Amino acid sequence: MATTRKKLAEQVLRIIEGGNVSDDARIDIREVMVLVDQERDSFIRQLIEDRFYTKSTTTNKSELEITGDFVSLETGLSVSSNKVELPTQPISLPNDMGIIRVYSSTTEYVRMPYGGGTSTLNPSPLYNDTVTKSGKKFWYIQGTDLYLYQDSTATINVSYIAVSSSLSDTATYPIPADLESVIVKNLVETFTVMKGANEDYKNDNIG
Amino acid sequence: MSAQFVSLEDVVNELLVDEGKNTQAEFLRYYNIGLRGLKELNFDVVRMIKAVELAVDSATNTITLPTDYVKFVNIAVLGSDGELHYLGRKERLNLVTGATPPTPESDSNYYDNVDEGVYGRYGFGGGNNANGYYRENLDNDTIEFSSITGQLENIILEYISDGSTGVTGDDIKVHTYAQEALASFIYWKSIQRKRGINANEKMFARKEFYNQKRLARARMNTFTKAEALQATRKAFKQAPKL
Repeated sequence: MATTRKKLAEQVLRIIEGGNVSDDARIDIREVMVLVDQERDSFIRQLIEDRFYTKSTTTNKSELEITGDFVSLETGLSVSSNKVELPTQPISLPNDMGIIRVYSSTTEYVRMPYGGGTSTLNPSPLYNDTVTKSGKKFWYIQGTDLYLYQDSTATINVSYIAVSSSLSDTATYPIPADLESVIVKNLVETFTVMKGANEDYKNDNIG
Repeated sequence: MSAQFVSLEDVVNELLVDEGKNTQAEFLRYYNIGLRGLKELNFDVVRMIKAVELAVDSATNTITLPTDYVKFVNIAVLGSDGELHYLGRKERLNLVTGATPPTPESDSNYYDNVDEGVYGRYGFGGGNNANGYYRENLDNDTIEFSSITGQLENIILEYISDGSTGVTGDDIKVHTYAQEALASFIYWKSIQRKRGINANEKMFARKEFYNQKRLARARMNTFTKAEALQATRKAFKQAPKL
């Protein structure tokens, strides 16, 4: 069964508290969940860039290799007025590579660089002619809004890497299974150090 | 589309696969470079030659060039024998619209436009053309004509096309023989101006393109045994035995 952010946080908390998490525990599960997110985001960038360095002799950022490990797939998104808001925010990578694929039952949409215009005038002058000649249909991203350049309405599927914090606590947490233990170990280490620190009971706010 | 051609889109997609990329994030940039590569190969390797029949404007004696026109190969009129009869090139044709000739008309020794050698004036010299003459007007995107045998109505223009103007999608295609050359061009140009890529890689990509271009040219210029025999036989002529 796929893991969730909450499951991971609970596991970390159990280990730190010696197996039994009491109501008096000094560490709150919300704090652990935030750190789980940060660990995942950090891993994504680290791993993707590592793949890039090991597979290629070049230092071109567009050589990033993205596999399905971290990817969420949103299906049946309804586009109106050329636009659909993604349920969660995609991670920021060079060349909009946080978004892997945009497609409908009939069309494969291709990424176009954000040109700063409106939905019908987006392409920068650099690519305007190429867009027309290619005969393809294109998408571009503006924040969490995904635009289809040619299609004002459509039902599309989008696969992308979502920013961890934008996933809900109980939603499937897209992460390779072997990395779950790494995240747990890293967080246990962090909290153990934190727990070992002496508490400061003195009130420094007086006078 | 026959196997003779492959679309630019396919060439770009295959290059993305070659490079181990999993997404089409770079598609548009590669396609843009590919359009330039297509022109480069069309000019001297593949030579996409198109032939069209165009009506000569009777008022101006000109034709307007097609939008994908790069350079003419042949300009001719179609004869009743079904063959092309080529026009001659004349640099003396006037390109200035509305220019006024001097009055009264100069004497025929100076302004010799009477026969143009068509009727074989003694001592006039050769190199004249009974079908008419043309001159390219680069500034106006036209070709100017003159004919002393009457108004030219239609001409057949054979020209090198840039391969991409006026067409879209799968109609932008390259000959299969030049597919690798085009892919090499796209790769070379995609890294050529990137600072982070070492010079060896760029040099290799450049050499690879020129090598693939050489191979494509060799393949395009194949000469069959039958063609060789035909060329040889053309030299055989009947002659009286002495």
